[in-house]
Amino acid sequence: MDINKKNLSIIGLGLGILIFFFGIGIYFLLGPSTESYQIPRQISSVFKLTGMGILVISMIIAGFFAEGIEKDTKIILLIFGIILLLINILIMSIPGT
Amino acid sequence: MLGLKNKDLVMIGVIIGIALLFIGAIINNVFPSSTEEMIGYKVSSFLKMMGLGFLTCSMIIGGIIVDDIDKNLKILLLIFGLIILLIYSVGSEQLKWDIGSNLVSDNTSLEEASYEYRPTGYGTPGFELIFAVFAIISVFIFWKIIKKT
Repeated sequence: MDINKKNLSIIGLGLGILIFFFGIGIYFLLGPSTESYQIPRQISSVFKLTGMGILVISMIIAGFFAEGIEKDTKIILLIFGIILLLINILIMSIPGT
Repeated sequence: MLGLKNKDLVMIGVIIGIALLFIGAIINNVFPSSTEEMIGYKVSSFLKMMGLGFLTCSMIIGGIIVDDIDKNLKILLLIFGLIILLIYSVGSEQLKWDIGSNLVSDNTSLEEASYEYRPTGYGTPGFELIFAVFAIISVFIFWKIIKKT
């Protein structure tokens, strides 16, 4: 497989989604978190936000710069990348969430 | 890899994803959880989430890289994958298992509160439905905008 922007974006997309869902799932496996035991929440947040970060970067990069992807697909990726970024700014990256 | 094409890999991803989702649901029913023993619930929820992860991942990647399927189907695969992702991005806040001190009282132990307030995906009744409707409406609006440009 060639290392180019398209392939790297696709690997980033896949990896980001898997890390994000792993982050949601690990909360159930380690939980529940209480006021004195915060490890499940901390680990889950690290995975969720890391996954979402990789995912949003890949989507926006693929939408703007990747070559060899159809025009409609690129626009959809870009729009959803921006929507996810806004969701993260407004909801997920608030401390305590 | 093993002579498999992109289409086959995406298909295997979808199969694994849906299979994990249903295996998780079966485990939850075969090993019911209680206030004393919640391992069934934990394993089942983890498997279900990983299944959804594989499914979403396969749908979105399939919507970008698979060449030998109809173009409309490809776009549909991508959009539905992104809708699932959007729903779970917003819904992940509802899927937290946080037991605050206000939930534990003299009459309720930590174990009982953990069992009582475990997220089942239906913490707020029908929360997925509300986000799904919003997501579908937004997709249609964006689709109209894309078609015009």
